[in-house]
Amino acid sequence: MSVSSKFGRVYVVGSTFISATLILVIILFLAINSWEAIRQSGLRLFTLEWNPSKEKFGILPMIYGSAAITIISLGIALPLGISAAICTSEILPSRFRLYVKSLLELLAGIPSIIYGLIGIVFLSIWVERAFDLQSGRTIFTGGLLLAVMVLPTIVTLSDDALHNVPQKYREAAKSLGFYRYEVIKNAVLPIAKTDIIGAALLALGRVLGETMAVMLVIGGIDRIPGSFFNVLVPGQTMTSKLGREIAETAFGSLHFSAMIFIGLILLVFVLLITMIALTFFYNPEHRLYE
Amino acid sequence: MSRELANGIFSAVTWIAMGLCGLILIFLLAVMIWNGIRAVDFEFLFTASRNFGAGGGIFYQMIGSLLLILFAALICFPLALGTAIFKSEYLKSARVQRLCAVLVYGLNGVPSVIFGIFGLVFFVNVLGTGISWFVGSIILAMMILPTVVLATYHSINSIPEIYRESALALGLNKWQVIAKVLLPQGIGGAITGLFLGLARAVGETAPIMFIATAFTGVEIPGSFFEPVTALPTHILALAQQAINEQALQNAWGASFVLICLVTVFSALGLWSRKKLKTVGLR
Amino acid sequence: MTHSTRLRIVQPGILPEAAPAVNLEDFHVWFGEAHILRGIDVGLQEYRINCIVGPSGSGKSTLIRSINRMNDEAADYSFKGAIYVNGENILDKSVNVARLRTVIGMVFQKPCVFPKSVSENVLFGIQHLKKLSRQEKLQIVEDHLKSTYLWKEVSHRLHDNAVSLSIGQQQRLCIARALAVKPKVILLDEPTSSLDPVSTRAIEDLMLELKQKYTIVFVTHNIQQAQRVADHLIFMCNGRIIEQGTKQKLFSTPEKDQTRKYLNEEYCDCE
Repeated sequence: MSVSSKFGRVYVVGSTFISATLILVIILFLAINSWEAIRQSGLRLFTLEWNPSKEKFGILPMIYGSAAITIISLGIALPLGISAAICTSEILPSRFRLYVKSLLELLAGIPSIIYGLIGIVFLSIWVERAFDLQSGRTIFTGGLLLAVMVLPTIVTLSDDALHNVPQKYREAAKSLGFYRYEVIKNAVLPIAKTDIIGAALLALGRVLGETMAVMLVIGGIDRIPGSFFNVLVPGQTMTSKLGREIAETAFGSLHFSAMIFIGLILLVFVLLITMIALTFFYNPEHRLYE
Repeated sequence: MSRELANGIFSAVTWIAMGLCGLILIFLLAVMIWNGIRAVDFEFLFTASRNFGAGGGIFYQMIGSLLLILFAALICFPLALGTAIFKSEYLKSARVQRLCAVLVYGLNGVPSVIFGIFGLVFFVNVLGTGISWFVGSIILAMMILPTVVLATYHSINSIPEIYRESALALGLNKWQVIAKVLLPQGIGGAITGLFLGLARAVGETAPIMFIATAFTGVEIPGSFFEPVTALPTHILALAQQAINEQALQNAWGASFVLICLVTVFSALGLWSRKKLKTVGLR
Repeated sequence: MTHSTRLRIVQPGILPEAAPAVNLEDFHVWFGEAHILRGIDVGLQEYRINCIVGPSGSGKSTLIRSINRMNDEAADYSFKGAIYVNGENILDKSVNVARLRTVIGMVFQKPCVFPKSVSENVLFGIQHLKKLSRQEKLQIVEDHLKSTYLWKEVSHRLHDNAVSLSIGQQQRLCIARALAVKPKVILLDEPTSSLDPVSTRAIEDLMLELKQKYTIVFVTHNIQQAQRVADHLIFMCNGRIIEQGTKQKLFSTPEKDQTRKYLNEEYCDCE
């Protein structure tokens, strides 16, 4: 093998090695740094009270917050987004498609901090007035904001999924005398189903991992609401906890280690969901541009 | 007839859904553009910020953001290129390919705050670099790596076999085939992926807010290991002072500039996808 | 694939002309500026095989797709004229198009089976209409697979994914699916272009069988096929009907020179 070929081989193998191990390195370092907390607190990490001064590091309030926000946001965005996608893909005349898609792509690319700004300036005020609260910074606000944030992505991915169903299936169903909604329900949706589920899982991963928008509107209180389903109170998610406090936590302390543990749990959750989502896409590749 | 009724209801529901989405999204755009344009003027763009951002402009923030992503691009591009070439040209076993895909694309699912924390733990503390803009670039490069790898891989992989075979038949060795035949044709896709990745990177706050940026007193960093100030983190700081009218206005202005940057890079990405398409590529 | 059980009970012979089941009157179609069909006047005969032949681009597919109004949602589609089925103009705005398509069924060029089981495919067109008992469903599946000569080949594989059938079997499955809706007219748009010669002959035999109960209208660019199977022949070129009549007449004593040229030499020089 000539010199240039040898050099080339070293370059590509080296690059791939670095790229492939990055994620392992990240997981490793998170694990190492949370070890101290795991060792000292063990299962008490999964309790309800977070109070560093008393060496209590219960992360359940954060998990509750993340779960609540996810359920609220997806509960709003998924039905709304998929229905809208059915409209843009199957019902809207095709000459509008280009504009709608471009608008959606533009919105999907807006940085999350800007959504956070909008959340503070508009959404939390509206929630405060609508429900007559002391503060508009609640779990509900966070869920609502994330719903709006993830909506363009859901619409655009579902629209792609529906659009990719070959025209011949629609024609076959139409030729049998199906009404339009029957064509969609019986012929198009079953075929697009796995892609849409993949899109939903991707959205789920995004919502779980979102920090900036949530951090600004959730209120930052490490407590599960007194009444379990009352989401009109301030709360905390795993991401908002990390975003708000890690910079001020002393490195190497037990407190820090517990924070890293939160990060580790978050990472594991999100990775699991992303892996499942990848196996759902027929062509997992083309949509990772975002 | 019941079927017609169901058809009508279904249509109505989807139209309403689309209308609702449309209203929400148009509202968002309108708010961002309306407030943003009013806040931006020449002075805003070219003055330093004062008063924790509540006064002054965003000159150094823009420079900081551009600096961060410039180096993120420089670090990410060769790595992504090498990985994509390896995946496309050297890896033959399907199992290893999938493993590799999982590892690299798994990176894409990592929440941005985790990148920030990793940077904090690994670079700032363990390696002791302190708050450094260069570390910020490294972290951003890690974040956009999967996007660029993916785009490059597709671009190179879709070059028809015939090009490789013709070159090999002429006596070129493997690396020469890559360097002289595949790269020139595939580089367009790589550049597209890079632009799209940068569009995302320029707007990210969490990866850099712990490790690369400071909120005051920073202008242009003197060395690799100094902090820098950037647009997203600046907006964050301003958002937290939203009671202050001036701070809020500056926040809108900075947001508008940031959106413009994101749009520019996205547009460059889409434009380059069209322009740099060559024979045999989709 | 076996054909030994095929019963050729219908000998291709000379059948007298029948009453028209479908009548097109001065029918024009435009896609945007392009004038695709120009003044089509034709009667498609009941319980016969009506065959439309002509060179590529002559408008055959557009014509057949207009009969069950599949073109309605195509871009820039506009038309003039009327199409009568049982005395009713089906192009009228008040017509329930979904209902129309249960009377006029269609089979496409490329077999399009849904990624479901064989029996689900057969039942596809009717199972959303009303609740059927398991017994009824099995009966319907069996009846229609028998009428397309698929029963023997797939009766043990009814729950297999239909995509696993050979392409000839898939096309017959599509026909069975269309028949399950109980249409009166069956439109076939080049039904054998995607198939191998053996499957092609199977479909042709099937059409000869089906014409006893249904009005068949099919499009082909294969002249030998038209010769084998057609009763009433329609020759189109460039959006117009050049000549129509019985197969025998058009093949042996055509009125127009163009017809003779196309059917015998497969050459058409229409502008």
